Amino acid sequence: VRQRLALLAAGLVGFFLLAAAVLFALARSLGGHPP
Amino acid sequence: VKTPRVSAGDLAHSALWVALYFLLALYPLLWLAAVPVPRGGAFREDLGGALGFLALSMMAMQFLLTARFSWLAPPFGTDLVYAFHRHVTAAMVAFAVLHPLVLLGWDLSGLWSWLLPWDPPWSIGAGVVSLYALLVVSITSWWRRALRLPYEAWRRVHGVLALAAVLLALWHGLEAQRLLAAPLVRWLWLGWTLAWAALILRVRLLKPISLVRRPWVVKEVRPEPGDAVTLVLDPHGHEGFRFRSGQFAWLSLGSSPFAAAEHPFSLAGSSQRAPRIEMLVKAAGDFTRGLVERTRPGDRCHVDGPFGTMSIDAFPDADGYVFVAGGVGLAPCLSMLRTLADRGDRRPHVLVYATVEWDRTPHVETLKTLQSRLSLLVHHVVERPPAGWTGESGLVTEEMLGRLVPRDGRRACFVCGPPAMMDVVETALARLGIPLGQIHSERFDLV
Repeated sequence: VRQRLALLAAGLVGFFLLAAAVLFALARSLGGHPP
Repeated sequence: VKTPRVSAGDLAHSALWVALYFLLALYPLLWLAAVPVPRGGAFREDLGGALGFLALSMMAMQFLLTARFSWLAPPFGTDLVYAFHRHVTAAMVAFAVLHPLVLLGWDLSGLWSWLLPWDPPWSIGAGVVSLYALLVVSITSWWRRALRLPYEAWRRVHGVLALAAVLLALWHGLEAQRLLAAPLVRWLWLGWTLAWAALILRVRLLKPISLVRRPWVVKEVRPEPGDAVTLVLDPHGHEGFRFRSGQFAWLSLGSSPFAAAEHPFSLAGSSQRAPRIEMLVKAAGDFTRGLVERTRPGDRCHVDGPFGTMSIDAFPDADGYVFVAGGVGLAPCLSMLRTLADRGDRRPHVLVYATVEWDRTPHVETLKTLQSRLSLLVHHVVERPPAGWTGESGLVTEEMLGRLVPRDGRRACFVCGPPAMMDVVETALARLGIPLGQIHSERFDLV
């Protein structure tokens, strides 16, 4: 059980970091101040 | 079957640690995102860049996860930190591989020139070589046993390549000129880089130097039945350390901790007798085989510890303790039992001790002595029992634990042994209705 917790934590971290990278790129391409 | 329970406090504490990791990994993106940029940026380039920065953060964090700072010790056991270190590599490698692919926009025509980075700019080549090193480190760690790599050789390759990968990647990170265009961001990035470089310097140079300055000396090398060896160690010219019974330490035999690979071993002696420490080592691995022949009383060695959260001292109010040990997994249980005996403990305790053969079972006499000093029930479980054996035999099963493990009162259970046995025992104890918060274990098959 404990070992699976480590796998779950790593999976969650990986998923949310990927989501953060996509959001970061989206925010920069859609947001920002007028050129 | 009762639902296993985990205490809310433990869960919150663990969630806090995962959140902290997440925030640290995300840190460069947070300040990159905070800098105002002109509208209409290139999504693909920003995504590729972000993946690169995340992979780099995660690579540097791998050093933090295994840096063994006692003040950073998590509440859930060092073995889970190492398990996380191993599992999170998959995401890190995925980000590192996706980073150039997204930047190249799946335009694979230039792939060959990219795969063989012979031409300037060298910082791009550094990134590619870093990726190669990262792949080698990951593959050799995930499949060390399948590749039949000896632990010591693997440890050395892992150490050198991981360091090369992260240093090359840090250099490569400076190439992200579009993202790091603002001077403030450039300075922030430089500071972030230097902070990680300082951490790596601390882990790889300053820590071993501090170990050299605090050597230990082998007092006794005692062969035990079943190819096991007991090492008794004393601090040499310093005060050693205090530890909680059940904890472990990293041992490196040899003249220098730079040269010798370290191995984690449980401290098997009573914590009441610190600074003297004892380790029970199975002569099975490539390192431990021949230990008896190589190690002599008077030899110098280096000990980094103590670590680990598995201890009776974390549950002083328990009504009694249950230990389930397999083979040399007895070591932490022995430490806890010896400590209880030295403290004159009168609570009832139970030890289920599984071994393969009776005449190769270490510490049978030690346990008899402990039984005379403690209220301790010892159940030997012998996989291949001798003729006429009347005790428990075969492998440890849920049915067997149902008979042997008392479930009255608040008892803390400690499990230590080979991975397959621990899987069975942890699941069985939970199914027998013992709350997960009362089952404690630590694993040493780190790779």
